[in-house]
Amino acid sequence: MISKAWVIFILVLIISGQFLVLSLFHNVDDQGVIFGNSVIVIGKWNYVSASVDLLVLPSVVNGTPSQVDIVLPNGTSFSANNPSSGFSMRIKLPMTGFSLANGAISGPVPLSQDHPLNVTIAQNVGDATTYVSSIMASNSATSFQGLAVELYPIIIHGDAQVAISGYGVAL
Amino acid sequence: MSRTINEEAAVMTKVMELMTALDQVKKYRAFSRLLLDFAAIVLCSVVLLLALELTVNFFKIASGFPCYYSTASMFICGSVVGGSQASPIVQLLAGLSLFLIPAIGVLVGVFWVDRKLRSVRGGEWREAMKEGFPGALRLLQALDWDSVLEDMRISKIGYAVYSVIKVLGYWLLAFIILFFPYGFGISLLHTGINFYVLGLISLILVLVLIRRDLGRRYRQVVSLDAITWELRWFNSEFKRPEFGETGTIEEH
Repeated sequence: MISKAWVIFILVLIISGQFLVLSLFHNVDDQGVIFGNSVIVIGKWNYVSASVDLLVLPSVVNGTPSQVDIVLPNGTSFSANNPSSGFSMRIKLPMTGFSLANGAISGPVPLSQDHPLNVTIAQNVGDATTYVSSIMASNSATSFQGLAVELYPIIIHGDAQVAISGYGVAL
Repeated sequence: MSRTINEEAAVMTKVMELMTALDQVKKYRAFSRLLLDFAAIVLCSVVLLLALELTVNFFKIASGFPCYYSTASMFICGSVVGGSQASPIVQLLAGLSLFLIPAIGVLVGVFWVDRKLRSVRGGEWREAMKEGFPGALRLLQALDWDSVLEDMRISKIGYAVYSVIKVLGYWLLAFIILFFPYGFGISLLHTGINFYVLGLISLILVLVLIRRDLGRRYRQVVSLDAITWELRWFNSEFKRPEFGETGTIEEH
């Protein structure tokens, strides 16, 4: 007959294991009002598999909805001018690498072992292409023992409300 | 050496007090053993809660990320894109499950401990006391003093642990109950909910509500101390020559 003390020890071990597995799952949320040329940057470590929801609702100024253009990371562009339905899409970001190393980066999209998935909204950046290039250049060298940063910039031209929600698992 | 009737009556009274106290000690000793049961039940509820969270997470991955953790509660499944959303009642229950499942674990644990404690009987010594002074002496002889004193020490710890657990359990319940009116009131004022303030208010409320119980338990611990010293006195007194090693007495 196993003693009660051992039962409690085993339960504590199970709970520790459950917390360990739960720590593999990560989520991010951000939202805000943007104007001018803005950039949403999704960042993740290459060992993270994630899915991100994006919602863009054009702002209405003096009864007229703003014309909003959205340029996705692969260059595809969309237009949205309906303030009620707006533009929404789901982006799947697969795991592209495996690494036993851990690291952390700062900058516009900080990443760490505890936060391997992150998003940031930069509004009215001026020249969006230059902004994206500078971010991509600053993080392109961040690779260490198979660990690499992946950034996915979404450029938005126009005034809008944006909401972005991501969920991922680190393996 | 002879002993008067009054002395016999005084000893019998003391023995009765002692045996009554030992009945209490027996209960608290049983309680200290049941704390392990209580801990196991509460831990099982935590395992269940985490297992549910893991199931939700794995379901999300297996079904291709149908929704996200878009709210404070890990269980509420929302999506900025849209798609199927759980009904408000389900979302409320799911959000509350973070508190409800451990709270139910605490309540089941309390019920289990209470039920087991009720089955601990005492008063078997009353039959012997009906025989008078010889019966009282026989009871004293039958006592294992070392284990009695050890039980007293463990019982005192059991008192303290029980009080702490009781405060924590009621604190959790008060937090859950106060969450609704507090959140409603704060929403009317259009400001964020400060959970630290709510936690502090819940704790103070619980301490105010159970202050009498805490005071009673404190006095019980103090009285246990007194009984311990009395037992020690009985122990040495019982070994004195006038009692005799066999516990017999000469009457004139």
